[in-house]
Amino acid sequence: MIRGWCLLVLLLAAGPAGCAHLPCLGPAGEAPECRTIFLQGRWQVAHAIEAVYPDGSRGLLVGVTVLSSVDRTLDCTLMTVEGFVLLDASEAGAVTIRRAVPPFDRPGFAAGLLADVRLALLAPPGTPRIGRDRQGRPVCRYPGPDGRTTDLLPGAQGWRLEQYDERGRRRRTVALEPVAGGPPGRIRLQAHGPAGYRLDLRLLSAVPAPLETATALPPREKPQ
Amino acid sequence: MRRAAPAINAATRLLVLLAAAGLLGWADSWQALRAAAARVTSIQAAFVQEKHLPILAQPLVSEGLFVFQRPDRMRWEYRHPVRSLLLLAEGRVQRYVQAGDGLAPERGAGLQAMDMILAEMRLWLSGDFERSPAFAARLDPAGRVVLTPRDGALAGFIQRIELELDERPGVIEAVTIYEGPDSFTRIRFSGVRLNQPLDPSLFGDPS
Repeated sequence: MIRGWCLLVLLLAAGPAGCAHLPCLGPAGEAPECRTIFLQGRWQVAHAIEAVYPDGSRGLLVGVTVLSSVDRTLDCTLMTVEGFVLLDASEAGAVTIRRAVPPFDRPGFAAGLLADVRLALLAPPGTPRIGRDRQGRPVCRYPGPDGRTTDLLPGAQGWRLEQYDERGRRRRTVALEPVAGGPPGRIRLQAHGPAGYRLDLRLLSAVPAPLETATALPPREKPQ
Repeated sequence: MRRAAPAINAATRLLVLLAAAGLLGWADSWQALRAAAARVTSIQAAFVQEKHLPILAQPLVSEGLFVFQRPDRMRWEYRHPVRSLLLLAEGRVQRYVQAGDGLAPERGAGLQAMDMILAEMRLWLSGDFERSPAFAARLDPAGRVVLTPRDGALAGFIQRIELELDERPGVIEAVTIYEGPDSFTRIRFSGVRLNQPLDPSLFGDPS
């Protein structure tokens, strides 16, 4: 259906390899606030998503996410600017795909997209270890249950997330541009490695979401 | 007095129906629709698009501009909150997306669904609903056209399209595209200007 996005689908489904490695942390000074950039509670956020492919070409989609920081659930709908739904999926323990049109129905794509959205929009779970990197910047380090490690570097001008796989290779970098009193106005997610890609998200709206969750909706029939 | 009330209500309803039929007299047959459309050489209108989904607490709202020049030139432009432009000229659709302060062609992105909708719109604006290869058309009373996909593959993406016709002959007031029972896009037009001269650059490459 959408040829230009095929490449991104392949890259997201495959998962790129990293190159930089997990740095050692020095002793912490004053403990930074590690969560203030992330939304708390249930929110509906909409983003304009620009994908930049390895060959430099671009594509534009709109993404709507209903997230809960309480139970860490996500409902994501990816659509064209004209409003045609390409992917409608949720994650509440397991990934549920309610609608996916080719090429967004490829195995692994929805899970890869939800993982990227989770990384960018939800604070990492657990209690971080606090330290400082080689430049002396404060780092909140979150060890993940899957062996991945997420480093969060707060900053007045911009926050940064670095995610490393179980071998300590860097897989994702996320730059979060803070906006006073609200969620990040711009998010840039870079997937590292030879099959890397970049997603630029511009916040269109953020409104509190009602308590009932779309994750409770039954899966819809997949279009033929 | 009490007995008179139902009769008055019935008469009022009849008057309203007759008035509606009179207002939309141009929309009582396919032939009348084609005749009205033939008198329209160009259309310019603003539009507001609402996307409704089950997960949304509030619909996503977009605003833009629509321009049509008979026989086959069309400009479908989103101005807020995302800038995007679709141009239809000589049967070909080109899409442009925001790049910095301007617009740039979206390379390799063939939006076949929107290509098809634009091609369909050209038929609608000509009153040729029945000629659509993709949709079967039904003309409802009170000025509504309902389009349903002719084949199952298309029905997987679009269940039906409803067009609400305006009081003015040849003008469509709103379009609703149903992707599912609880997922639909409603586009409402306003500030419609008919048969005005158009700048040819409206249909040219903006990048």
